[in-house]
Amino acid sequence: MAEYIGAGNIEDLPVGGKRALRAGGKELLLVRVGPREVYCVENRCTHADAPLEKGELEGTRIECPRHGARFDLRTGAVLRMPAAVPLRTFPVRILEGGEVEVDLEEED
Amino acid sequence: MVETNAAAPGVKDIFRREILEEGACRLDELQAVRALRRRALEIFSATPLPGDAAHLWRYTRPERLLPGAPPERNPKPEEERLPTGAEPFLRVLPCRPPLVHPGGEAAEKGVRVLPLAHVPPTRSRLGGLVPPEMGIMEALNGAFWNSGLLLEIPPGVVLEEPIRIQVPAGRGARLPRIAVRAGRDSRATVVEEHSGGKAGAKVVSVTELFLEEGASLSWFLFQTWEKGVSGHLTQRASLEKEAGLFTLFATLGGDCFKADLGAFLSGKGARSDLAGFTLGEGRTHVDHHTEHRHLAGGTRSDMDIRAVLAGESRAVYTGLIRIEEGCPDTEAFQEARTLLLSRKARSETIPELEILTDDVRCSHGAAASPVPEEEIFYLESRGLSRREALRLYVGGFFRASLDRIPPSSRETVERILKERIERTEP
Amino acid sequence: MKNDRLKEVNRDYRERYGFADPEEYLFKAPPGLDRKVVEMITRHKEEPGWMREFRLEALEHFLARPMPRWGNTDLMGEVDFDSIHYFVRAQDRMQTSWEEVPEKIKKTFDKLGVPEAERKFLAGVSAQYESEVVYHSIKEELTRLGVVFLDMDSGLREHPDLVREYFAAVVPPTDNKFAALNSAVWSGGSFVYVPPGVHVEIPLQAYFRINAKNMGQFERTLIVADEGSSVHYIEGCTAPVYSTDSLHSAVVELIAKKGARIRYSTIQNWSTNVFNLVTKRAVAHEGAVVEWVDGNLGSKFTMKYPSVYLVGPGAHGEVLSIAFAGDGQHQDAGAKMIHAAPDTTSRIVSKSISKGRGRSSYRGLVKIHKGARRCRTHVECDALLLDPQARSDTYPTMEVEERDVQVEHEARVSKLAEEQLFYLQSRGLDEDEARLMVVNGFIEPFTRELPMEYAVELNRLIALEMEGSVG
Repeated sequence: MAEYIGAGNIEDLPVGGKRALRAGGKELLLVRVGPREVYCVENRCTHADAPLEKGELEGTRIECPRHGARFDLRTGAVLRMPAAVPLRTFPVRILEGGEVEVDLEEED
Repeated sequence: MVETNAAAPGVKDIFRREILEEGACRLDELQAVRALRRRALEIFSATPLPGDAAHLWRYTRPERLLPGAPPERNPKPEEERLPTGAEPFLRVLPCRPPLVHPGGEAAEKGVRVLPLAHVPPTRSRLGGLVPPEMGIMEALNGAFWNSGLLLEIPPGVVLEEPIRIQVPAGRGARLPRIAVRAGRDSRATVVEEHSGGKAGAKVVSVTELFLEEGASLSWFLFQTWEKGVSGHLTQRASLEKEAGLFTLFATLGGDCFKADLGAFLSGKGARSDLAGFTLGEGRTHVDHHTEHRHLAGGTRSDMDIRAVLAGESRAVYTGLIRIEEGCPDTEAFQEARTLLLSRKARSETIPELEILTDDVRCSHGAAASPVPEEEIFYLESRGLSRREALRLYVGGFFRASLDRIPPSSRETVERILKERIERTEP
Repeated sequence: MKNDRLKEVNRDYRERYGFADPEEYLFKAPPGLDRKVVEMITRHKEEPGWMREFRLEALEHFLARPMPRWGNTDLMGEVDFDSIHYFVRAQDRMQTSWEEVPEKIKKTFDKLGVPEAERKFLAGVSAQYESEVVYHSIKEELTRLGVVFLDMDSGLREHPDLVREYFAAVVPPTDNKFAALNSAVWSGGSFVYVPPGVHVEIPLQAYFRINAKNMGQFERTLIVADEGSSVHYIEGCTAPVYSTDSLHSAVVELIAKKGARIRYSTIQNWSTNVFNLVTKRAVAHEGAVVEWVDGNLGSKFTMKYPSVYLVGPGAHGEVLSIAFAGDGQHQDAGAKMIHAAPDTTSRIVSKSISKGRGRSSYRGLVKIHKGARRCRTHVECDALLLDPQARSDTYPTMEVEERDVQVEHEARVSKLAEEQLFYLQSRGLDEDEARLMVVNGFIEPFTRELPMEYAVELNRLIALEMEGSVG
């Protein structure tokens, strides 16, 4: 069951911008990489739990500021160690009015 | 709805000098006590919130434990009313001298209970074991503790009945402080009960135990807060020659809880024995740290820490055994076991040894594993439901500790434990 | 006979280990580190542009990153980065055969015992003298099998695509300050590539030594074992005694692909003024096995935590290590096992001996990631204290995010058992010999994993360290 919840308007987030959110007991990171392209991942590096919001962004790739692990925002896949397991990702949809919604549905 | 991360609640904006000076604690205290508070405040102001690079704060965010409101000024009226006929106990309430439910052997034998605010620090040794320099929580409590008692057990006194100290959590912030001086060759059992509380309540508590030569103290520390209560508890004990401390903690409640328990074995032949267990369920987060510092030869410490984790709970245990130089014939043992009931539970364990003397026997062990399915299967085959089987197994896992709890408290602890297990998924 | 063996071993110690050749350099960068030095290194080596960029980025990271705030920060604080030469090239250039190796260096190797091993194993020897490889021979057999065994500089030149694919994939420069430093100024080290299905039967060996005042060694080793292959690599170090501090900061990366097997053995015996701050990490894919066999005897201060990232189902990791900390030494060693896939297993056995005021620490991490079901890991730490003021620390961390796992850790600290010594003395051994025998028994699980000549050398080194330890 999808459980979309509001995460603000896309206009409030510039391209290349990141915003940390807390919802459903989770720390999330919303990243806008293009005009209509927004991703949502867990805001916690899977290597040493560091928050990713200050991480460097290159396209759809984010680098953890602490030890340099890299992830693909689209899939959560690890692109460089020292992380070994993927980031959790959450589906995002953008409504007509620019409202961004995130699906917090549990995996597993 | 999603909330954007707000700035950390400014604990330092709330806990200001004015609160301290206006006597927020309303304890009408001695100047020497006030002077210690001011010193603690200075340290508190200068101490930054520890980040996750700080060793003891690797897995727990201090923001979750720190009060977001000034200390409570009044207890609830019902907290001040004493039940009739109940067994003797003490109660620590904000901005009140400790309540003493009268009667009992302790009073007859000359055990004294004094408001910490009215005792010269030379007598209470306030801050002697848990100074404000220890960390932000200790500094906060050192400056703003708003309820406190000193328990004095005279030399040679042997108590049969346990002394119960009730420390209820409230609605806002409570900062209790307990000091105990166990006189030479005295013998006593104390139960420190942290319970109750409304969602959002915070407790930052400090306990200092001074055991004089040959004193023997059994200390039971039960935390059975309601859901939504969080807090931090620091306990340090000093053990003089041949003194013996037995500590047992049971952490069964609250949302986010961090405890830092330790002993200085400073006299020859001192012994510290510590057992503890915790049951995590839902999204509870518990973080226990133990610290045993051997400062004299012929000392011995023993630890047995157990955790059962269900739901999305998380338990952290860090334990340090340090044997200083020149402490021959010393023994230290530590055992930490974790039983994992759920795939979403998380456990972090760091048992540490620092050994600076060669004439020692020292070991530690740690293990984490699921409930052995064959044991559960066996119990089920004997007609038990899975939940019952699980409860039985967990009870067995904690049994050695449960059996050491004084009969007067055992029932309560077992009842709460049972309730908690009931809440977990089978 | 009692002390003769010890004396014999000890007699030539100064000769064997306490020498220093006069410094003669073809190229030596001035001390200190900035962009210019890095540019000089990369230009001198005629490296491709990507490596230059890599080095410069790493340098930035190194300069920006604070020193670690954990561990022995006092000792770490003694490292003076500005007084170190970041590149020193040996007088002698690349050698292709033993005959061409200059006599002077051969003598050095003689004293170090290199020729013995060389004679024994006609496999490739990649011996690092100063900051660059000076002698390199590859057994024809290896070439025939398609095994690449080169110093890293040559590897980069001859196999640029392979190196680029794997270089820093396991240890990025951002990982830690010393990895950043190495990434900026690395020189030498080995590059090994084993093609799919190839089993290298003889251990590949490399010898390193430091030979310049305030000189740093920043070798970089990368070993890739392709699917179903296997290789054993041996790194041995011994160094002359110097009066000023020296920094050694290597990065070693191992990649064991599906079903591959890598064993990496090290005997570290830097002279006791060397700071040995090393990052060693392996990735084990499905069904792969990686073993670190790691002996730390020398250096003033070692920080080294060989790790295995078990990223494929059924992978296995192992660390078997010993540390010997004599007076004034701190061996801060350990191991890390990261279980990131189901059915992975690991084992860590760590033995340490502290003597005099020596300090040895075990620092370890076992992590079970969510989803890594049915993992098993066992850690065993044993510490032996030989003197009243010796120190031993154990700092293990266990992080478990999955339920159906078995995580076990045990540690013991004790002194030499009086009963054992008494028994041995009653059988005619003197106290020195009895202690040595107990210590050798204590580290036996480690020595039995070494090739015989290494085991013999290790026992000699231990005997040297133990010499006169009574009283």
